[in-house]
Amino acid sequence: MKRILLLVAVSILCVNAFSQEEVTVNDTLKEQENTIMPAVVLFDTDFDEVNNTTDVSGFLQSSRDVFSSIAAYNLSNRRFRIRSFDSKYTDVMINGILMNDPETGRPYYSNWGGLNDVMRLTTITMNTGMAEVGFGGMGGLTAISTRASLYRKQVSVGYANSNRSYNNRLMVTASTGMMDDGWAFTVSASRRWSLKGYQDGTWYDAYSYFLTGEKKINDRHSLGFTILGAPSSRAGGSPVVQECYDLLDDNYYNPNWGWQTDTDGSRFKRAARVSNYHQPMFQLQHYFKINDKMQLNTTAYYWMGRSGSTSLEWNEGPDPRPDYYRNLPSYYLYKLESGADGYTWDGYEAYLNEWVNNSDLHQINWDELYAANSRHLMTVHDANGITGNTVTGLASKYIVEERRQDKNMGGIATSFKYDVNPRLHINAGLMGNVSKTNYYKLIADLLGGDYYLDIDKYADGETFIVSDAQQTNLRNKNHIARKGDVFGYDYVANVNKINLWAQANYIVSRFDAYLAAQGDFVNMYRKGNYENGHFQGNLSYGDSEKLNFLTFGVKSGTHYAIDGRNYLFANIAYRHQAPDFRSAFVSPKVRNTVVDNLTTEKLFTVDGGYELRAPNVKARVSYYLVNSSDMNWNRSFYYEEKGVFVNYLMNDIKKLAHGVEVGADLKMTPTLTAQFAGSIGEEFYTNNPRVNVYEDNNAEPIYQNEKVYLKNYYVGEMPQTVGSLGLKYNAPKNWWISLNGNYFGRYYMAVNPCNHTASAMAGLYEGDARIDQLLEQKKLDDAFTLDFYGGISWHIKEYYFLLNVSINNLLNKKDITLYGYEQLRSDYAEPERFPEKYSYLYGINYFISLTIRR
Amino acid sequence: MKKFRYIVMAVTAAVVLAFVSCKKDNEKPSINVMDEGEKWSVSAILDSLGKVETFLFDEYEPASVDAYVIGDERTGNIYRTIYIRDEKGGCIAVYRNSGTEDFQAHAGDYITLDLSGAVAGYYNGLPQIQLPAAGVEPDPNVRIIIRQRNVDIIPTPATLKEVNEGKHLCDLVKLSDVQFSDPNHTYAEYESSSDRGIEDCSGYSAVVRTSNYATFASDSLPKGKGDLVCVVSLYKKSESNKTWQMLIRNTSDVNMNGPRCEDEGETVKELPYNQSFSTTFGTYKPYDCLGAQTWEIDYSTAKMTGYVDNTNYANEDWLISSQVALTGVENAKVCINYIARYFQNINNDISLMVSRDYVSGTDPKEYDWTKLDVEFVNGSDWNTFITSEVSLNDFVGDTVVVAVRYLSTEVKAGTIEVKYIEICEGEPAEPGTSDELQELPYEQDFSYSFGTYDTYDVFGDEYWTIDYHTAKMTGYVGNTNHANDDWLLSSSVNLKDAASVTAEITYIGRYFANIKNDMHIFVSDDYERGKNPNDYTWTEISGQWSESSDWNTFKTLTVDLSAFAGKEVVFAVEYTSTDIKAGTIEIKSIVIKENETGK
Repeated sequence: MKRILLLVAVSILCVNAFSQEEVTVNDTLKEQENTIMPAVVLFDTDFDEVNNTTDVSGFLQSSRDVFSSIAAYNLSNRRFRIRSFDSKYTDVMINGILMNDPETGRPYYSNWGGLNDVMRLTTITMNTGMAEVGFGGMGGLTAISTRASLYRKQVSVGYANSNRSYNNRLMVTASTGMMDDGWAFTVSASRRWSLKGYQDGTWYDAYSYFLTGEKKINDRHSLGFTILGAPSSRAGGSPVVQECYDLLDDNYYNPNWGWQTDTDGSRFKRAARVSNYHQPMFQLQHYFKINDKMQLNTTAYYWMGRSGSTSLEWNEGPDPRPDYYRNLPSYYLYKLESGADGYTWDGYEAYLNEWVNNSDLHQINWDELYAANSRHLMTVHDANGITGNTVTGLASKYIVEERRQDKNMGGIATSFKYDVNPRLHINAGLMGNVSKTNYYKLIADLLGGDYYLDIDKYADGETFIVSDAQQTNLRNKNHIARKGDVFGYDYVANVNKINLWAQANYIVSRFDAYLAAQGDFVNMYRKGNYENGHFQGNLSYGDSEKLNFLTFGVKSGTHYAIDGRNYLFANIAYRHQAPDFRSAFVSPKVRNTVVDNLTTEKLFTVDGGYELRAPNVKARVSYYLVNSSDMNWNRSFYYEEKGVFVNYLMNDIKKLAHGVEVGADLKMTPTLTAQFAGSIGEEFYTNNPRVNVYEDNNAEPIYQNEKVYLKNYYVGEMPQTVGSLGLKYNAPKNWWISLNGNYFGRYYMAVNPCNHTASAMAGLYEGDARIDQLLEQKKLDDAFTLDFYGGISWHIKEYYFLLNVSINNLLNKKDITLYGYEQLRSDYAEPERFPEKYSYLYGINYFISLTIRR
Repeated sequence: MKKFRYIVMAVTAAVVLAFVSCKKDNEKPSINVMDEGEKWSVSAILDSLGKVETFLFDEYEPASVDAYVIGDERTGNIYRTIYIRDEKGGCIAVYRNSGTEDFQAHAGDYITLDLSGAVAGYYNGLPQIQLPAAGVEPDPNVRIIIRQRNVDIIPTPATLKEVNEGKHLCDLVKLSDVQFSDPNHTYAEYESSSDRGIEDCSGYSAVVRTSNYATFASDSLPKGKGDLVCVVSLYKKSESNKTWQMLIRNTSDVNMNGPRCEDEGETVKELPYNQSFSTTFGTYKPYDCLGAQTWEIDYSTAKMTGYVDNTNYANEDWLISSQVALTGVENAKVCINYIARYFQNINNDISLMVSRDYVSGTDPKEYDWTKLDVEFVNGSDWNTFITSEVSLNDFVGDTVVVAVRYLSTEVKAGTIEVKYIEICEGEPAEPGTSDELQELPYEQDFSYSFGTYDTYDVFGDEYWTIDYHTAKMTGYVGNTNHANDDWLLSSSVNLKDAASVTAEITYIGRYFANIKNDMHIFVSDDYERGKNPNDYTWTEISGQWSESSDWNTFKTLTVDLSAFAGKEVVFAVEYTSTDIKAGTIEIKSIVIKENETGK
């Protein structure tokens, strides 16, 4: 029985479970620098939960890949990605429906978070292996089935307590199994919550629900349905510069919250960055057993809902973020040493002490934001595009906005399986999706004001007169936005896709080989609902150019059994992939402009190795190589060199990733097992891509085809040398413990491409100390962690009890950098002004769960 | 099978090792290379400027200088200029007529600066490197390499006296115990740059110049006394109108909150305790015991007279020092530099007094005073100052107060003008010893006195003094060059028994127009002590004088006196200067000895 736990898929992809942050990436505070920017990154709840499912040794036994199961279980803590693939390249399917976001290409596990109990029926295909429900991504395919008839009859209740992202979890699941009347139902619900997360100012409030049913019509046809959803709300943190951690002596400092005084005078914590998701999915399934050899499964679905996250926004006021560089004591010192008027050494000491000791300075000062709004009486003429419509009121300088991505997606997928004979097996499928995601933002809170003037604050204008260039929507000039109003931008990302794939698997003698191919047709375009003042007419309003991509992919692999225990294997794959929606447009937020020379991404991968499957030993050693080209990189940030907000686009990036993976599971005694997984690899750029830089509110490029010298730099953002060594003891009396030591090394930070251009070097000469500051790729310290796992199960009458304990970072190391990146804002003359940002691995943390099942 | 497994492991290891070297060095954008060419130091540039007014660095011949930036323009007070200092302490201004945003260098940076096309010279008296202006070919950009940032730049300890003597031009200095003469102003006026006087308790003064564009221009001046870190600059409008300007980089360099000079008379001074009366009484306080006239500052001196409007008035007036501790020394003396005229009984009317118990601000007649045995002399004009020295050895180990007592009557009232009073370690020059014939080896150290040497001021207001433990002569005073001709003359020395004799002069000379032309060595066998040397016969000895680059490195020059063997001669060093250029010479010692090799 194959029971590949959700853990593996989540483990591989856990770092992107927080990619909901990417919803905010392009917009947040005009300074977004990295789309893979974690909030409370380390412990995705699903990952933690799956860690604590029933039987770890069974998990291992059920995994077909000893390296992946161990590595994913223990090494993703510090953002290790197997073969450097991020989640964009791993397909996740539920009942054959691709769950990867059509715009970003990434799966968001929060869409079904808390439904672990019902997501166990998972088939994981690692990398380019053979799958039955789809071609899969280059990083693999996770196929989840929620077919009601496959759940065994049971009722389970579980409670977990943790000090990670949430503190409490309650989960209830009930399955009827296939009943005599041909119906099968499974229902599951959970609640996860915490008033305070591991970091100050974070909290978690989530529910999830699940209902699946199946009606067996006859021996050939079954109809099913699945409804699932996971509404959640959570407040998160973000990486900050080391100065903040040092000043507060706290590696878990979170700048995204502050104290607010309530009407009764009491003070409460309020977070600025809160994400809210609820994207339920509805599926109808048809299972058609054509005959004993053929199976045709079809699923139609509709997926909709909201995805939003809040943040502060402001106009005509200083940046309110406590970790904004101008609000830090280092900036005061910079001004003092620059001789700016009004800055003194005494003043610096005072400000430093104040910033450290006064939470109104190192956290958001909500009261001050309200106060600022309460003093800003303003009159707007011709408001809302109505001549003579004069509106006078408190114009908020500061608001809380919610950036939304509301999904509206539907489609159908069918997969066909034909076991021609015991040697030849054929799979094929067809998928079609239509997706319309509405991107917009709305006023979540006016913070005491009456309205917010909806204009582009970076555009030039005159006093008392709002120019056309300042209008975010010429069709609603001088927009007075009130609470709940849409403002800023409003567009729909249309991504439509048809996929056809086929696979043949042939087994002869000792060989097991497969060949698969697929073709995609992707159509995407932007539909602007706002006519931006800088980009009038169709430049921003209405449909953009329709982009069509016809892509293909082929892969093949073979498995050779030397004998019943020793195997050799090799795989090869090549694939074209359409760029994701956000990489296709210069600035999808405000205009229809398509990126020049847009082309498909190309990936080539090959791997091979040796596998041992003996009763007491499972091991695998392999070498892999992934060559990618024409990759896209699209970021929006404040460009210090020009003093404007820009869109920075690279489209011809080439990368090479290769390495060796070793995994072993050694049963030393009937009760004692040793496990090892290790990888030495590297991923680096193999060319110097070209960049086009566009000012956000100007059609003219600042730079075109400027060379970015990235060749041979590590891509970074993950440790390239990892190892996990563990010992597990399985006691005869249904309890077990495991201790794992994990090593993470050669973890390089992603470089800021702006620093690697001739422009950055223009004023510098060989020998200048600033050259190394700009060009040197920083490396995080190597790290070692120790994890403990344990569990015990027992029966009382017909009830089955399972207690699991997971303790990570047993040594309570709080100085391990989890993640770091170079800020994209860079001053070439004084590079030290904008240092790197970091977040830290949690100290000792635990997850304890008790499940009762009948 | 085991063998197969081992093969697999070996292959794996090989692959691991292979790809470790797969990744090559990171590619980088091409980086400009500055041909540093001929490496100059600031000191070398200054030395060259000692020989010529200006010189040009060829725009096509690479040249550069390495130095620390000690002052920059960020506060707006230093205009389009950075000041740099090299490893040897040589300092110079670097100017470009286009704003120092081109420099990108700040105080605390260690830089290499390209000199191609630059012109070095004195601009309004300030040694300066002027870089090519923007837009001027061949390369309009300032080429600079910042090799290190945030270097801790130590300001050079300095005094206003040294600054006035031109010792720290372009350097970043720390002036201790200085105060603004009139602190009731802002650093600059609203629409114009401003000069604000600073002074120390010894009476030396200078000017702090602040641009009205400085970010701190409207800040109030500090009221107290303390430390000031600043760049020493110079602005010369004309030959006769030069101003030493202290440039503040930012107000964090100003720490002047202590009691002012006039408020801290009670502080016990340590040796050397020098007080100049050029602008104030400083740490001295006058006390009027009798008569309407009082001590006043006049003609850059402390002046007392009972003769007013053709009438003599009776007076008793004291000019009393702060307490001074004569401790840690084996001998001490007091020197008074003055002009006194029209006294009927000068040694009664003018007295140098010492007390161990005097309390400041009270009537000195209520305390015990000892009159020092010093001979005051009525002068013949108001230009020739006389220095009298007297021993304080009887008071060594004590804390004392020194005072000048003036007496006059309605019958006769003289006038005295005291330029300075110095209390220091050492023995006073003993009268009479200078006439004695000296035998070889004839060594004279000038740390504390001229000893057996005499001085003669042929012309000019300046004269030889003992300063910085040397015999010092300079015609550069008060930002102005003065013409002088002054001689330093030995006692007669007996060379009769010597066959080969040399004279060795240990000295520091700086800022001469041409030191070889301005300094002369003479020998005479007919000179009479105390007379004008120009009335006697001298033989000039050619000396290889050369300038030092700082005030710490002494040089030694040796001349051959063998031609005078067998005679009794007087050895002399003549200093000359003009109104255009006046150097400074400090002679540590002169040794006349027989050459042991007989050569």
